[in-house]
Amino acid sequence: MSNQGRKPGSGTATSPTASDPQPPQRPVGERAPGKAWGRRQFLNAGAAGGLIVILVGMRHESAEAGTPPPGEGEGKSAPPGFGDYNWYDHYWAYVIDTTKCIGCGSCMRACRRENKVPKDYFRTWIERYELREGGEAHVDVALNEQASFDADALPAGEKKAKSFFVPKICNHCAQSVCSQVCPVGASYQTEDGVVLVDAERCIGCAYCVQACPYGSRFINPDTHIADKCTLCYHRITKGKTTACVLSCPVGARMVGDLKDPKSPLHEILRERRYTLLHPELGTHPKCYYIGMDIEVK
Amino acid sequence: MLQSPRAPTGWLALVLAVVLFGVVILMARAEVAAPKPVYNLTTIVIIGILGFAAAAWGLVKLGARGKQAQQSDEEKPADYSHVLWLLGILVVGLGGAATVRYFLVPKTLGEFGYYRGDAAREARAGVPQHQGKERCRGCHPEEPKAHAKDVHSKVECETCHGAAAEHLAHFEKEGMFGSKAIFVPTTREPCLWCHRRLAARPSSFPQVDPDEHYAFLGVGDPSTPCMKCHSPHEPLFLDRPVHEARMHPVIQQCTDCHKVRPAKEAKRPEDHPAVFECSYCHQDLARDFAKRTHHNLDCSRCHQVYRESPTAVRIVKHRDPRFCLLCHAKKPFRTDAAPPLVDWPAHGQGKADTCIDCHADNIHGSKPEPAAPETP
Repeated sequence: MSNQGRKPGSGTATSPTASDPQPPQRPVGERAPGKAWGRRQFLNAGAAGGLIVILVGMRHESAEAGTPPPGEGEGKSAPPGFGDYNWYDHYWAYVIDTTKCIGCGSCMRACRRENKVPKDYFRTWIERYELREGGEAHVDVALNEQASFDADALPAGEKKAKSFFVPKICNHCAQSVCSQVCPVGASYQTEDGVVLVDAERCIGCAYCVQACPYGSRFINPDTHIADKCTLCYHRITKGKTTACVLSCPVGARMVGDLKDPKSPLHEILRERRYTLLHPELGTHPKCYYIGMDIEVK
Repeated sequence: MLQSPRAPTGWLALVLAVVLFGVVILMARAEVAAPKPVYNLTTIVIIGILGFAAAAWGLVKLGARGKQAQQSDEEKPADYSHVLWLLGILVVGLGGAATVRYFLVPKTLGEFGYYRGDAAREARAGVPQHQGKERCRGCHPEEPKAHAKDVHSKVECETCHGAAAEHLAHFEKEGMFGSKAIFVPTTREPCLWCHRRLAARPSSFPQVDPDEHYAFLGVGDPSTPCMKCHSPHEPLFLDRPVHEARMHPVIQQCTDCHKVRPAKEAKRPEDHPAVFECSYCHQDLARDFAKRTHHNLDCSRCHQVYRESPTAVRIVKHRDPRFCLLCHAKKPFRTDAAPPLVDWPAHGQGKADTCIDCHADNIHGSKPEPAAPETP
């Protein structure tokens, strides 16, 4: 660089030859005294300004590409106001073993008690699939007060194929549609991978309710704002398990931390065959289903 | 000032305005795209205002120059005060908007992303309602003891009794003797939430058709609660913890696939996979059992299995007379149509500790116990 700088007329901005005559183009920002700026000078200046803008933009793009995507370790310290809980060290996921579920509704009752979910609404629910011979599926949900199935859905005389229960819950998608469509920033995803609703900002427009492909949201009839599973955020961030997992008598549900190498979740995902609900939608759900039937939508 | 001949300042100001607007657009784009705030919003607003100011200043300057050129023929210079007025209104308006925005937008909005950071703190601040069985054990040491060794050991107290937070709050306020406020099931319904026979329930899970069950045991009143015979804390009266019971490979039974058990004399079709009925391995016992009084029962009626993993079950052993008495105890609500009823412990007083001490003949001939220890 220093060698080039000494050569006259090397044409770099650092060269001290600005006063050299350059008939076709004047250097930017230099003009004969007293002479008005013409279109040429304006365009030159504009080009230079544009270049600066583009350079700034490029610098920003590269900085953006360097930031880790959500769900990867960042080694940051806990933000203030969260006590000893550092949400950068956690990433919550959920496992449902449909082969174990007995459809007792304990999870639904526990969720109602834990989160004060209003009558006739559920943040988690159990779907019952009963297939007729030939593959036609009959699906129902126990929405009664006890959240219990009192009898088989298909009459005894009917020719039945397989039947099973499928617990459903918010998938806490990594690319959550609901929080993307929220116009006021009331639906959001925490740094530890939980999709939540800010009751103070929600305006109850229900855009998120219709955007969720899993039907996990509803408008709370008492508060008139969007309501959904919080993954018992007030429990999991204090080292407790969720109410639904705690109350499940057969261990069909499990909540775990994907960033914790000791979490039994890893062993399950390594050893068991699992699937996701609607993986084709690109929502990256974090609720892993074991033993799921293709009939389940 | 407007008559100044240094008109190119106007062009410079316009260029500056373009650059400033470009910066504002880029910063705003980055702000929207990035999950976390990149720039201070106030900075963006100030740069934008500066851009407007530069643009207005440049326009005024250029306009003045144009007028100046025409002015050679005219007397008075043009009046540009209205542009400055516009500029003033713009600056005051934007400043006012920024001030209003400052007070309306929550302080923690944008702390982590486009949401209120305090919302996450509030979500975390909720009070857990379910406490977990360790907490229950502190005041109720007896029930968990039996509970821990029987087949309900993995069922949490609060699965049946409901969340304990209210119960605890009540206890802290009223003391031990006022402390109710917890759900205690008294009807058969809560048991049936789990144990009612449903086609969708996994066949390995114990389940009954209540009508059939009550008819079999001679219980006339359908409102009789299950707890009259079955203790929910100790459903099977195991003599040792279920997780120490003998391991047994998972056996596939006819009823694991078929809703109705095939008739005893039915032959397995040639292309049907081999299933492992108990009699497949335990032929002598099965042949002997067929001659005894209990022959109409499945082996699993007494030798209950506890599915521990997808590949292994525990076969639990019953020595406690209370297990036999589940069917044979004399109860006020049972008719004689039921299996033979006895009045325990009066019936075996002083003679035996267990039923099979005397009634082994009614079950099946026993082979000598295997030499290998039962514990795994």
